[in-house]
Order: sequence, then C-alpha cells, then structure tokens
Amino acid sequence: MTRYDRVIPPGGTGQVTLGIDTSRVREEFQKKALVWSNDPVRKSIALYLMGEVKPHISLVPGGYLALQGVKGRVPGEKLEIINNHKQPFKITGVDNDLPDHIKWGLEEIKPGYSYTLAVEDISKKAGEFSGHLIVRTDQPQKPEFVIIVNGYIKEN
Amino acid sequence: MIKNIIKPSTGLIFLIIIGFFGSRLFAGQSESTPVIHFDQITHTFPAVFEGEQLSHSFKLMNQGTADLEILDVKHS
Repeated sequence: MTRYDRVIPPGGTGQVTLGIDTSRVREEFQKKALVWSNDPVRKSIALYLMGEVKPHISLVPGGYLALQGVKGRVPGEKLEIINNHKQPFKITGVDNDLPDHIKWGLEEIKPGYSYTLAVEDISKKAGEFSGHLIVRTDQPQKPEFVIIVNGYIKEN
Repeated sequence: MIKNIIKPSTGLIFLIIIGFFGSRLFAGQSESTPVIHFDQITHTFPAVFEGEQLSHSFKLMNQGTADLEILDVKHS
C-alpha cells in the first residue's frame, strides 16, 4: 500500500505513506521506496522501513523431516514446536497423509508453549516417499501449519 | 603610454565579468523551483507477528518557490 500527496505548494507540507503486508516477511527486514519528484536537484529520495516479523509458531530446526536408512532400522526424527505468543496454545490434531510410511508422536515439553513431534518410519517396502503432517492448533492466528516428511528407505 | 592602454581594457574586462555573473545571479533568483525535504527518511517498527499490516507516513515539506510534484513512489 502506497499513498502520497501529488502536489505540495511552496512552504506546504505533505506525506508519503508506505505499507507492508508482513504475511510474506520473516525475521528482520528493510524495505526501500524511491520517491520521484520535480525537484531539479533531488529528483529521487530513498525512504526506508525497518523492523522484525516474528512467526506465531517456530519449528526447530525447521519444518522438514527426512527419514533415511535401511528398512526396519531407520533412525527417527523429531522437531520442536514453539509457541511465540504469551498466551498458551494447544495442538488439537495432526493429519498424516503417509499412514503406510510413518507414525508420529507428540510430547508436551512446556505445557501451552513447547511440543516435540517425533516421526518414525514404518514402511513395509523400500523406496522413497514424500508427504505432510498437517498440525492443527487452537491459536486463531495460526490454526494450522504443515511439516514436510520425506523418506529414503533402502532394502539393505 | 602602455599604462593608458592597459587601464581602460582592464576596466572593460572587469565590467564584462561583473555583468555576466550579475545577470546569472539575477536569473538564478528569479527562477522558481521546488525543493523537497523530508524530516526523516527511515522508520523502524517495533517487532510484530507475521500477518500484521504495517504502515508509516513520512512527512515532507516543499522548501522551494514552486509547486512540488510527487511524480511516483516505487518500492524496490
């Protein structure tokens, strides 16, 4: 969103309003906008907006799990789900589109604020697979998020 | 004899120089131009959660003698 006064008389004041939709911004940011005018000396001036955007929920080390190894002996993987709000939240459900390949377990570390999600391979055959765990929460700003799960299972 | 020749020509050159720069100075004063001035060119927001809409208005002033036209504002 950008708004600005088009004409400012001599001695007059105006404003340039810049907006940012933070739904596509992560962590620290700096946005630049160039203002072009008929000032013969300073034809353009750069304006800067800076700040920090925090996620509602953090996934550590990330939102991706890879299961690799020999069938029946594939090490499990896990990640931590962290609530960044002051208000506690609950995980209300997890949908798994890989029921033939993985099973998952959820452990509450710090009630309302931190969970550990562990995933194990249960594939009956060797091969590769890719799917998702869709985690649902009672947090209105982040009612669900997706964890990608990939598998690379060898016969022996 | 030589002094008499140099003196009038030196004076003439002096008058030409004064006239030239004087006219430039006068022309510069009569030409009206806009001058853009921002009180601040940076703004730092406090930390926010993803999805929030942020906006900030930068105030500017026309310190010149002609209308200032904002032609475009482009994000980069």
